[in-house]
Amino acid sequence: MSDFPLGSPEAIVLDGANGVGGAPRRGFPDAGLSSALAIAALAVAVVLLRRSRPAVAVALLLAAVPGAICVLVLRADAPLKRPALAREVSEAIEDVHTAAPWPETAVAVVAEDDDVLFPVGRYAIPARPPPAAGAVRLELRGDGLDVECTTDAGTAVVVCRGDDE
Amino acid sequence: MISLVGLALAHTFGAVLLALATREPLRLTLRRPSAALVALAVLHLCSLGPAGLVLLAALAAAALWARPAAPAPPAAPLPWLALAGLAAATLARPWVPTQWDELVWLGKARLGAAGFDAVVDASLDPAQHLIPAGYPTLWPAAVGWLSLGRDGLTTQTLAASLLVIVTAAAALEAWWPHVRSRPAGALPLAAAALGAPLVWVHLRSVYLDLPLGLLGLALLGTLLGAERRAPLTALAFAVVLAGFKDEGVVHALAASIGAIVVSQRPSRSLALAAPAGLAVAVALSWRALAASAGTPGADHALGAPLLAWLPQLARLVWLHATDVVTWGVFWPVALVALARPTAEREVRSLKWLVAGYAAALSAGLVFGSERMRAFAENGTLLDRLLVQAWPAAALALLLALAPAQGGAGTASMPSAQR
Repeated sequence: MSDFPLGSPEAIVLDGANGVGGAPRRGFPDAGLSSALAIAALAVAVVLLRRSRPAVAVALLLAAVPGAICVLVLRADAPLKRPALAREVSEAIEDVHTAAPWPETAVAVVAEDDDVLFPVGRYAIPARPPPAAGAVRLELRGDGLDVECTTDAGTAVVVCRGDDE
Repeated sequence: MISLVGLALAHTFGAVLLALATREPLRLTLRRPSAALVALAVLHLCSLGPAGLVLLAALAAAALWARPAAPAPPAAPLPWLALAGLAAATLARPWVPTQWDELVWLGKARLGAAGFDAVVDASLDPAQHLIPAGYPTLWPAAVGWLSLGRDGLTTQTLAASLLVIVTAAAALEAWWPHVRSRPAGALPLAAAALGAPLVWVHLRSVYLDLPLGLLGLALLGTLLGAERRAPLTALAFAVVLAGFKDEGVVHALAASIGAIVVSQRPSRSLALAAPAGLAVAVALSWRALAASAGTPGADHALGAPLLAWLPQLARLVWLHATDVVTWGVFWPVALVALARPTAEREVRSLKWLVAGYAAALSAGLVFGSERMRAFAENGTLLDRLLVQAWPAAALALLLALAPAQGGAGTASMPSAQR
């Protein structure tokens, strides 16, 4: 798994839309540098927006380079990595659907971890009415997209567990 | 690819309605990207039952009130090559959702396979335990409609991506008459378009935040171009905004305020406020329906203000907006562009749009639920709200980087009311 905060498929599912480098979730570890750059950019823009607009435009583009590298290379949804990410997500959905084929079969989600399988489960089983007789009882556990579903022989609950390997 | 057929059908339906409302030939309204949104607005109101039909009657009445005596001259052609490039950039990826809200919202869209108003019915049935509860239904419903009832991951993702493109195209359609005469070189365009990396992420996802901002921008541009009254497209944008998300009403109000403030004819204020009024009516109707059905939206409930949280909000906004990896230096520079004095009508209206949106959302958080403040604190909200503000701020920045010929002053008026 990449050391980059949004370098794993699971991280993209959890936080991909909430920032480019995962800083919000990590408490903005580079806030000092970012703030300094922002204040400098403010000053440059105030001085140059009337005198040298191309310089302001260049500054905007240069400041976007770190983010560009993240979006285009480092993130797990970077263009060359996105097919693999899509495959993992769609396979996770398919695994849950195979174990609990909603809407063809009534499904009751009896427990779910507030982690990466939560939204996967919400796509696979979006409606959660009271369990009907004969409904598949499903648990969604774990913190990864590599899903394996087994049926507990005692309780007949289908447990889909996701690992991040 | 069934979603393309669905979009084509919606677009054609909307083009017919536009032709009726504007007296333009159908061959011209078919060239307007906003046509699909007109159709979605009508379909949304039809899906809301009796309350929606009342609102549909109001929409029709307002559109007829705004109907011109003669069709406007044909508008200048849009930059179709640029739009094609944008579409390609948006769609060139696997059509699979990969982020939290994408999965949750497309899950709701799956319900659309059961019928035209199945998403609404399920959203108003507390026994279904949909999440998020009480949210407006148009986005997942529209994905279902464009998917023509097919329940498939790639179909729905493509349908949602097409909606993202349509909102961008509608914004371009609305603002093209205002900006096409400006000499904007590649550098200012690139800086405004590429200076905020998070927007590239959202362009290639099916989150609602970017479409909301684009629609608010489209509404403002349309109102600025209206000679007398708010045309059907503006009314439709307002309905779609309110139908997509609760924040949509904020965009509609802010856009209307922006247009009214810069209007050179104060007597038109009431006419320009019609879309905002319609958006409020749609939003309130949905809230009433959800509350009476037992599925109220607790997330966006308002209550006693937590004024002591304002400094924390300011700190959080600063941290999010200045995160250089996420936003570059877009927001500091855009702030300067928005704050500079100008007589340009378009820029002034954009200032009001961004300021109105920011003020309203801040108030919404201060008066809002603890859950929303928790989202803001844990980093899963504010950047997305900034994405909603990005389109208007980016356009203001572009206009600052590529001013009209001769510097300050009112840009050329658009050709006709649309």
